[in-house]
Amino acid sequence: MTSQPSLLAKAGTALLAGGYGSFTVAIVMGLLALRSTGAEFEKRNRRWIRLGFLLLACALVLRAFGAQAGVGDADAWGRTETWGLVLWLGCGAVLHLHYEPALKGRKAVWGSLLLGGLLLLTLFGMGIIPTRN
Amino acid sequence: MTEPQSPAGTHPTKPFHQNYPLQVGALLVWVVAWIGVQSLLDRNAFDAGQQIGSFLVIILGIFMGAFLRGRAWFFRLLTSVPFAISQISFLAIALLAAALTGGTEPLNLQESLWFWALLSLLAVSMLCVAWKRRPYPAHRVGFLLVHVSASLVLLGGLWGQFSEVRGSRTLRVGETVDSFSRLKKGKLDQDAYALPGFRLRLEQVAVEPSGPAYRLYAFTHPDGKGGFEKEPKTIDAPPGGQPRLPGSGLLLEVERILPNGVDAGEFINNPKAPENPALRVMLGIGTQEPLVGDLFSRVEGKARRDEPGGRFAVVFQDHWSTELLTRLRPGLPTSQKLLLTYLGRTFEHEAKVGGSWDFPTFRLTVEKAYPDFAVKKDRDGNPEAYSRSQNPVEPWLELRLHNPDGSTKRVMLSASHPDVSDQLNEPNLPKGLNLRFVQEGAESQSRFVVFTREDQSARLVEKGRVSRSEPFSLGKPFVVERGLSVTPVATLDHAEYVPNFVPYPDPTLAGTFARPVMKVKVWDPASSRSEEKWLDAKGPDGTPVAELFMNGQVKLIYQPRSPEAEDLRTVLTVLDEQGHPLLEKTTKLRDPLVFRGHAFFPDGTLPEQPGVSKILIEKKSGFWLSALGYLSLLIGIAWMFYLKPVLKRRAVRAEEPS
Repeated sequence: MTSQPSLLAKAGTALLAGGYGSFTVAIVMGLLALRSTGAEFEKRNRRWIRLGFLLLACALVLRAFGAQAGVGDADAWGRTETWGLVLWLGCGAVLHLHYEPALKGRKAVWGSLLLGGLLLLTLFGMGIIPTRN
Repeated sequence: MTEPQSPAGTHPTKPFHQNYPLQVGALLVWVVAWIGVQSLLDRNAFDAGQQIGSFLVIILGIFMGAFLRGRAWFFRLLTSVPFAISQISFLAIALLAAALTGGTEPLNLQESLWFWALLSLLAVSMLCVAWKRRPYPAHRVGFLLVHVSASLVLLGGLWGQFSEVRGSRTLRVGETVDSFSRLKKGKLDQDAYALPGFRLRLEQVAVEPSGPAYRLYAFTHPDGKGGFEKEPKTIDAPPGGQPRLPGSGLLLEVERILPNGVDAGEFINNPKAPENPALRVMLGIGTQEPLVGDLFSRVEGKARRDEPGGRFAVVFQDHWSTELLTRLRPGLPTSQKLLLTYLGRTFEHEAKVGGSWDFPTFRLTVEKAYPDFAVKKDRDGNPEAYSRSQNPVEPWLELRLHNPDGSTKRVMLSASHPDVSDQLNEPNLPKGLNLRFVQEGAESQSRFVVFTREDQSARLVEKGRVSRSEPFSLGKPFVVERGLSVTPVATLDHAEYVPNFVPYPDPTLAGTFARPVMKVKVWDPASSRSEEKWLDAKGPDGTPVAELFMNGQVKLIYQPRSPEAEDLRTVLTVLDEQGHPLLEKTTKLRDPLVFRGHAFFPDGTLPEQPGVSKILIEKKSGFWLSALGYLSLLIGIAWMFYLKPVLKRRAVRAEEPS
């Protein structure tokens, strides 16, 4: 029982890393999409964002289950969960851009690059910028 | 409800459901309004459950009113993609803003009505979208799951908040309880929460330091009157690191740490230092090498040195007076007491033979006093304590510690050598507890050699009377009796100690000799000025010595780590109603014992007495509903992104005419 919460948290952390990695690839695809014509890189950009969205969702859910098992409170938020949720919501907003006629295509790709900025802030700012736990 | 019309000849305003700035503005108003509602509820002392109840009533009223008054407009807004983008982005920004502001207080979203309001709006939007996009063939089930999940998570969270139980109870070791007092807004309520079908017992309370035994502490805010702030800051200075001292522009570097340092420093005469008269004397007491020591007339505790054999004491004073003479005679102690220190708190009690001192989980009785303690061997060769005389030469006290299970332990305390008795009693005393025997006003010495600076005289005082007096000069021995003499060798008017520590010379014995010291350098990068000093965690009298740096800008001290809440360990056992143990765990601050959804853990304060701990209980229902929502979300996302194309292709192939 005592190892279960830590296992869930570790699995969550691994998936978090996977999600961040997927977003990184999506940013690269986005940059390539802006430099090229055609929709191939745009499609890849969207695919990698979707994968990152799923992995990040799994990570946040596993950490919530881990917190429930470990401390009896799934809402025991830490800094990692807060920044992860912010990134995940940003990702959700970017995915919806593709369903808005005025914002799909290149504009949605720019949106994903903004997401990239948020990712950098999460990766490097989380340890530096003081946030409440 | 109609859309706003732009005046003729001007650029048409976008309708609300497509107008991002207007939507963001409306959401901002929505959040601010709910912050206002919550502050109103707080002022009227609504607890968490009552606030959630009020929230539900208000928000249901708002949504029902909106649907009744402008169903079509409201539905179009909630199901519009731009509004979805605005809501999701706004929620992300709001979370980030909440996390970045507010100092070091924990981010407690579940108690924030604005967060529930945003989440409720998003959940209702998603439900409306799910309703709008009916029907749901197999390949679109994922969309339905994702857009229903938010509502499940929301309902689970609200249920948990509404039915949350928070309680507290102070337990003694061995005590079993079946209820806790509820906490409402952090204060105890008369309402009790009964544990459903089980009981809780506190088995043990212990303090286990989780970090280094000694730490560096810094005072960096001088008050201009020679004092500093009440609570110092702990400084972690890794090897090679140069952390900035908080609140100052100064940098710190730890140059050396010795766990068993030996004082190899010396006094020098520094004319620039403040006046600090010292007399260096050499004792001729029949040993091969004479003993040399320094006496300081104006430093408490350092104006006198006793000859190692106890035959006389040497005193150095600025002036001679009859008041001094009255103090230089044997006398019994004016008071004797026991000092018990536990987790930074000190308790005092009279040390009287036959007396007892009761604590919640043990009892101390004073059995015997030894004014002049010694050990001899009895007929069987076993060590036996006895007192050589009734003079308070080497005072010890014998106590007995009585445990609740009937067992007892012997505790021996020395008034003159507390360190020795600390080591002796460590296995017998509860962890984290220190016991000392303190005598005040005792004087065992009857013969004194007194040097006075003003008249440059040396006097022999015996049994309270001056038996001989003569001028003293450097290098001239003052004979106490045949074979015993004191020779002043140097006077220092501005004595300044230059400390230096070296490792204990014998590595095999170093472990038994603990005197942690640290050499630090503080410097000002602006002026390139620096100061180096040794910090002694166990000064000459056994207590840490604080040092001032940079003209009193900062004060540093290297001392035993103060106990912290994280060090507290409580062993808790869950029992069934027949008393059989079901689960046992050693809990600490963020590592509770969880049983049937109940979490038990020690609260964030150190106990005031040994063997006692305040235990908190937290229980939240509704997780199963939130868990269902989380699973729907995950399955729905995977379905939408990866299963849908496959199912759609199959559906298309199935529809193709064969």
